[in-house]
This record gives sequence, C-alpha cells and structure tokens, in this order.
Amino acid sequence: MERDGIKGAECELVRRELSAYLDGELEDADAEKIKNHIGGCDDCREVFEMLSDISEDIRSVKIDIPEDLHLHIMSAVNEEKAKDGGEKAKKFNSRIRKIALWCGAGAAAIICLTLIGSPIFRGGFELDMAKSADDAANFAADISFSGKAVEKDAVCEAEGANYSLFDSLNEDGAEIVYETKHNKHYSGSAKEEADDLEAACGDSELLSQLQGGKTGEIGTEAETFSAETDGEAIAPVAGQDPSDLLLGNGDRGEKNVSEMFFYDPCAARGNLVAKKHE
Amino acid sequence: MAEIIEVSAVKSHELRDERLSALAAKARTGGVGAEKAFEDMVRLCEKGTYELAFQITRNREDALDVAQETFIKLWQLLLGEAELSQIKSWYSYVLRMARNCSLDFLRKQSIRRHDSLSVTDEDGERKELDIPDEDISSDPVLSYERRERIEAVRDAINSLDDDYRQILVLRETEGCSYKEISEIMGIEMGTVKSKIFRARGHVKEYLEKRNIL
Repeated sequence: MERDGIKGAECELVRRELSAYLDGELEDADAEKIKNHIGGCDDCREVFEMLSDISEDIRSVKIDIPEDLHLHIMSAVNEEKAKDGGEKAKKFNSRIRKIALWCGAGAAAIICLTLIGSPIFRGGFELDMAKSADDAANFAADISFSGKAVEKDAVCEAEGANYSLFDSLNEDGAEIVYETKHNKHYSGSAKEEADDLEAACGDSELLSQLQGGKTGEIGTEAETFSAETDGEAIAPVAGQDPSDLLLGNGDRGEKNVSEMFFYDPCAARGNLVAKKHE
Repeated sequence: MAEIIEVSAVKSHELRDERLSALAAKARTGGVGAEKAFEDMVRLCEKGTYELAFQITRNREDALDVAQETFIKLWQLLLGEAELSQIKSWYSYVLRMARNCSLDFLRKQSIRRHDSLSVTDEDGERKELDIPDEDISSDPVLSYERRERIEAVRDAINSLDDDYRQILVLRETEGCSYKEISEIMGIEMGTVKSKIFRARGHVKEYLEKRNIL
C-alpha cells in the first residue's frame, strides 16, 4: 500500500511535467528522470502518448492565412509612411539646394553604391551577413558616376560629380531619376525636387530633357566603373579617389567579382557586404 | 508561399531572432536597404501576428486590421528615438505588440468571438452565420475520422478561456518557447507551463466527452 502510495505520488509529479517534457522545456537532468519513469510506467507512458497526439492534433488545426496578408500589411504601412512623406520631402528639398554640380573627373569624390539587380552581381552572389554590421541584404551596386548620388531622403554631397539624369513626368509631378549606364535607377520624387535641381543646374536644355523624359547629361559623360577587386576588401580613406580605391590594382575592366563593399559616404568607411560564393 | 519558406529556413528561434535583430538594425538606419529590411521583418512575423490576432479577435477582418496596426507601430518604433537594444527577442516583441493591439481592438468595440458574417435575410433582418476557420470537409485526403477529430479539437480550443487559447496557439501553432510565451503574454514561465498543461488537459477531456479519444 505504501509503495503504491509512493508510486502514485511519483506518477502525479511526473504527469505534471509531461507537457513541459513534451515541449523540451525541462532541464536535462529532469528530462532524463521523466524519460526513465515513463519508460517503466505504462500508465504515465500512455498519458504522455495521449498528450503527444493531442499536441499534434492542435497543430493540425490550421488558421486560414489570407493570401494577400503581406500586401495588406505593407499597403497600410506605406500609407502611413506617405502621411509622413510631406515632412521628409521638405527636408529633401533643402538638401537638394546644396547640390553642387561639377563637371569633370578627379577631385575627391564620395560614392554611394547600391545594387539593384545589376547583371554583374546577379549570379553567384550571396550576402555574407556576418561580415557586415549593416545588414547588406539589399544594396545596389549601380555605379555610373563618381561623386554625387541622390537617393530619396538621403543626399551625399561630393565633389567631382558626374552623372546622367533621366527624368519623367508623372501625373503627380516630376520624378527625378538618376540613370546609370547599367540602366538602373534610383530616384527622388516630388516636383519641388525637380524644380530645385533644374534651378541648381541653370540649364534650360536640361529642363526640356527633364520634361521630355530623355536622358540628359551634365558636364562630362558619367563614367561607369565596377566595384571589382581582386579579392581584397579595400577600406577607403576619406578623400581618396573612389576610382582608385575600388579597383585595387588600378585596372579597370571586367573581372570576376569576388568581393564588393558598400561605401558609406556619410561615415566615410567601407563595409564588406558581399562575398561571392564559389 | 515565400514567407513560409523564409520562416522554415530559420531552424531555431535563435536564428530567427538573430535575423530579426539584424533586420531591425538595418531598418533603423533609414538608409539604403532599410525599407527592404523592414519588409523582411514583416515577412518573418506576419503569419504569427495574424494567427495570434485571429485567435483573440476571432474574426478575419479584425485580425487583418490588427496585423496592419501592429506593423505600423513596429515601423514607428524602429524610426523613433526609443532605445531598443534591450529587446532580445524581436519575434516575441512583435507578437506581444500584436497581442496588445488585439486587446486594444477588443476594448474599443464589441467583437464576436467566432468567425461570422452577417447577412440580411428575406425579412430584412440581419443574421449571423458561423463560418469555420478552415473548411476541411472537402479535403479528400483526410479520412472521416480524422476530419471529425480535427473539428472536435478545434471546438475544444474555441471553448478555452482567452489566455489558455492564446498560449496554446503560441505554443502549438507558432512553436514559441515557454520563455517567448512568457514575454509575449507578460506572465511567469511557471504560469506558462501550468497553463499549457491545463489547456492540453482540457482538450483531452473535451475529446473524451465526445468519445473521440
């Protein structure tokens, strides 16, 4: 009787832990005790198996996820962002006014590198997340100019900027799009920005090009360069000619891209963000 | 299906949280890739968010509203000035936000506990129909017995008190650890353990009464 009582008490304690044991939430020593007990106790093993079946049944009860769940969520978020867009556009306009348009190469330049499906980097590149503190999951290596990159809400000023300018008018006004020789774009928006840029350029021909949606050029033709190295990530020095620092041994031309790094113009540093996996 | 692939690729909670932490840091910069980083965070958390919201609001449209509200708040949080380094598990944090949004939602309006549509009948009276969460009756793969069992389990879950049901969903559907559940629900881990134990026991008793077990 006493042994039965002790066993009953033990089984009671074990059964209270069976759920946590099933979920792997017990410490190793406790889990081992439970395992040993149910190995030798038919009643408790039966309870454990029943709990396991019920757990599986509960997991079988699916909640129907709307197919457009993600779309709904992002639409709502983007709508909220648009409400704040007015404030950001004002800030962007004031930055645009500071843009200095330079002709000619040379001079210390700051480059923004972004990679948007560039054919050079499309195949074989996997982002080495561990290498970069900045999650470089998305970046565009789209360079067709040295110097000035204007992204929406982020302007990096530089000297010696050459770039191509492509613009098209949409129903909301002008959209400034910077086109590279790889036909990639990154854009600002809002008519005020186009107006400001045109005012800064002082170029009536550019204005017509803007309105006509043609590619325009300011100064000398923008150069295309590749952020290709021979395998060494190069940490640029602030003020260093980006063409040199990105090309390692100074060669231009097509190479097997092994590494590329994101040059953060605001911090004047390079972060290794991608490494080709062989 | 992309988001399911993304979630299943995360083999452990630690990997998922590591990924979310990196994405959150990127999203906070507001620079290149920030928007994509935020969208990736959404993809990793949206299913769990919706499921938890649905279990609380018991209504698809309301759960959708809650999911939207949750991620708007997340976006605002990331772009704000608040110190976020103390967040160890972003997944738990987002689900906790979802839970709070759901409870706020319920507080603001009268909510039906079960999925329903209201229709107008021939007399112009509004009636409500109960709609099952998922129609498995036409699934040819499942045997009759299996379908009956799953329906009974669904009924058992629906009969649980709110906290028990939420905890069970977090554990069984989302695969959350007890620690994560305690963070999401704002309760002690010991309480999580006992509630899961009791919730499963309740389902077991329910099935026994229906002669399913």
